[in-house]
Amino acid sequence: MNRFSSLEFDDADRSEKRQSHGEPVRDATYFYKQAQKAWLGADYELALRNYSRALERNTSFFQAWSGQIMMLIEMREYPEAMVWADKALEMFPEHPELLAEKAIACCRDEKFDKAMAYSDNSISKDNVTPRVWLARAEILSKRKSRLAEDCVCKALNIAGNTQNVFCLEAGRILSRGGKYSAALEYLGRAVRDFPKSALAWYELGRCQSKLGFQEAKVSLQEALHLRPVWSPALQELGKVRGRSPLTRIFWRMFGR
Amino acid sequence: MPGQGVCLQCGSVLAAESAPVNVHPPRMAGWKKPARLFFRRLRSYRLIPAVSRSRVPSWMKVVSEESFLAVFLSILPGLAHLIQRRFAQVRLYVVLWLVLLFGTLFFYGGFLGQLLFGLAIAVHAYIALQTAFGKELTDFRYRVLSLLLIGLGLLIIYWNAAGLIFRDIAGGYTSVHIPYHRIEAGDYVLARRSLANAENLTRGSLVLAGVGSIGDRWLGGSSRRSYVVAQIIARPGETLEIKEGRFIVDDRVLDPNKCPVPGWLKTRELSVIISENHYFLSAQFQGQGYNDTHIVSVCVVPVGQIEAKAFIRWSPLIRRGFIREIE
Repeated sequence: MNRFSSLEFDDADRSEKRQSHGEPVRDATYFYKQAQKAWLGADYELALRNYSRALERNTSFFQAWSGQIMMLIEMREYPEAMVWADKALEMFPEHPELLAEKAIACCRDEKFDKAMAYSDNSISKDNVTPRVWLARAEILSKRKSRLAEDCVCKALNIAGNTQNVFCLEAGRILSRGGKYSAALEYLGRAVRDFPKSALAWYELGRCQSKLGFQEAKVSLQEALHLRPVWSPALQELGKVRGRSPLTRIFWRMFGR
Repeated sequence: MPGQGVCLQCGSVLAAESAPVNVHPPRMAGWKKPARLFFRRLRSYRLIPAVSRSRVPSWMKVVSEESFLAVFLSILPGLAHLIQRRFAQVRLYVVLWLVLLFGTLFFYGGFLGQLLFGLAIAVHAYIALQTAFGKELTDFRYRVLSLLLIGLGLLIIYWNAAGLIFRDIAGGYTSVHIPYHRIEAGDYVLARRSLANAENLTRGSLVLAGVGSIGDRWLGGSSRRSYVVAQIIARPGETLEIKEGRFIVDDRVLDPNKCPVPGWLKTRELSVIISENHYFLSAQFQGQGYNDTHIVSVCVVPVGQIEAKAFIRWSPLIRRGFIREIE
């Protein structure tokens, strides 16, 4: 050891070592991941806050803008989601994903004509993302069209690395449209990819419950284990427990 | 390319904005949730249309954007803003205006009523100034002047509108004290013009009537012909006497609680036969030293001079109520 041994010539190596031992760097990507985690846990408020924090670090982070709009939609604040989508469109003009999110907001707010118009507009753009096709699928499934599942397949085909996230979304869309059997396939894959996601387990349990499967109890209990005292899961579990065997058989026979 | 702020292909913003960007989205107020859920259910069952189409004619939209014409539209407060879908900007002022207007009507006849009336006009003028017209005025002096001019115009409109809306209603201050009616001097009563006919003009009822003059002095107390609130004591064809401070009609002494003799007539002795289509009205008039001829010329009035019949004690608030018939 000499007097030159403590001099810091190679700062990059040292800083990497420092980072691996201490707190992660709280940049836009960090908060984005936190937001994704919160969304998977069905904590939409926390997810929204984290998306906002990500944007505070980097205002041109598109996925964070998109995430904020989706969280507003999840919390059923559809007019606010439309306003925010318009705000995002100022930064990213004519972006197909933002138009698709407007379509989803209109669809869930029971304004189908507007939803279809936005969806048509988004599909006509270049660089169509999986969410564009999922938005289309949601609108078509509301109209009981068989093309909904084709749109879901199209979305997953172009999803690439993010297929697991879009699997969960696809399962939720099909479940919302009443196609529980089709949704089961995607939700099954989602819980394998995200075993710690309360949202995935809840959606799976809900689907199984609609079809009259006994496994619904297990799925919902798992969701409650991951997120205790979560009222939608508690209500669904209550419904499952209160169901008579005849009702279960009925749903198994006639559930879609 | 370096230095490129916007993507040439898709137009997305690449460079960080120099001005701070708001990254916190607007949120829904908690009270709106059940209302939105309700309307969403109605839309899902097709009970209301999904898209509300504006039924405002295009010419009205154009008018609302023109500065002077927008002020005219603001005769109905908030109408110009409603057409431009900016009603939220002035909704609190419109609510305030409505409250002040109802307060004016409620407290009409007193100082509070007049104060609220002035405030209502001021708020209305302010709402009118928040249109396209106000946006063009940047100087504070011009804005104040415009506010005053608009207020003056509104005052004229309110006056005429009140005359149209309440054309059957008249009002006046009493000058007599009538214990039976719980009326004291200075009370404000409302009267209906449609009740000023022979059928409804019963003894003891209060009426709004035009009074005459003696020489150059108007007994109403002002320098112009005025309407005063007086009480009918004798009807056409009846004989009226005043003796010992009491009214006697057709040899029947009237109850002083119901038909009191006013101060200026208490010391008089009078006997008169009321002619056809005339009534003897009693009110507290000014002055003294009048003889019988003066009294008759002022108090005996033709039915045409009776403007309205009072039906409600309006002010003060504590004694507000309907006026009962004596006979």
